[in-house]
Amino acid sequence: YEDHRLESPFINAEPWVAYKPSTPYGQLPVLKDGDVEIAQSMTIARYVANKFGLGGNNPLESAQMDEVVDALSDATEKQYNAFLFEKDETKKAALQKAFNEEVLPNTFKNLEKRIEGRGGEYMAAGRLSWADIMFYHFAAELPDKEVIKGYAKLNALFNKVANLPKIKSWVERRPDSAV
Amino acid sequence: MAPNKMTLTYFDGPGRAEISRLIMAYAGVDFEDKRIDFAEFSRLKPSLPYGQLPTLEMDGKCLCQSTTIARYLANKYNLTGHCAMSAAQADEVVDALNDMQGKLFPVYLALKDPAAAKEKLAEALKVCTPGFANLEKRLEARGGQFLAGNTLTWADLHLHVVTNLLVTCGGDAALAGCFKIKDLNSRVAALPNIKKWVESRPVTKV
Repeated sequence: YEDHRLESPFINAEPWVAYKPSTPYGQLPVLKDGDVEIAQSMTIARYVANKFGLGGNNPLESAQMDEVVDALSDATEKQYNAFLFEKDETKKAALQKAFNEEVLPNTFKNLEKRIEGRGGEYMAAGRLSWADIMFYHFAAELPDKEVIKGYAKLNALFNKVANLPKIKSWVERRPDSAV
Repeated sequence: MAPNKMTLTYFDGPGRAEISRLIMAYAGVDFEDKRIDFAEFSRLKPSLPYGQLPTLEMDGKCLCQSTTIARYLANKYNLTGHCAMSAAQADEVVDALNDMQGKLFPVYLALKDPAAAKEKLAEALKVCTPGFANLEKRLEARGGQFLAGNTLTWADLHLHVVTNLLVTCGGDAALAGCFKIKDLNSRVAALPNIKKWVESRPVTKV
């Protein structure tokens, strides 16, 4: 696939400003598959997961994956607000504190229970899915790498995904960026 | 033995559960529309998988996360279009609508205080005005009749939920140039099962 990257608007606004009007919702990412274009990050991820065998084989499996992804998205949004979007230093510190002390522990506690209730190894459907990859990505992006170690099953899943050969090689060769 | 009814549990109000209620109303599903108050929610919360509502219970399983529940029901009752791309187009619109709905909830919660609500509405409109303009364009680009797959999907039902919220919050101005959206909304409202649901559902005092 073509991995087209625009310079971060936090560094240089011009390339994004020029591109923005042509996007469906004035946002990135956008995926082009043949003639058709879709937007919205989680929609793109789900579409690609389904296309390449990392989605559910029936509605319930798909729903179980979606559910975990939704829970992680809620937490990601709060982290983005604290880390990226909030400009006021005092508010930023308060948001980060709330994330570190409430949002993150609650999310991990709930997911540890959820994964236990579903066989203990994977987030959904008893096999590797995009929910596990999304989880790996979420945990890998956390500034504090120690937090996950407090959750036995989540930590095991994190390491399992991290060591998948193709994931490992992508992480090693992908472009570095701040965001 | 007949399968048990599904139970959708939420607070008494549209909020994040209405889309699932609309899907089941459209499909003619007999479900338990369980509405609880805050006291009951506090008692229930420790046992909820993510400490949140809504939840969908069926055959001993509990599913959470409002959009996930709605997508599961949409798949079950054939409201996701005819192919993977239509389903993705519906997901895309729902994601965009959820962004706007998220900005409108604080306005809804502040409606008892007109001054606070007005300020929050101004903030929300910064997202909703371009948001609805983009959806109008998206709708036109996809044939002008439906938001995904050129057929009725749960995305069209969710449009109905979010525009109702927008209007309740006093944000009608965001729909000013959105003729195709308004037309789609009227057609959704006129669907017999939707009309029946809207007329018979519990009325929530703001």
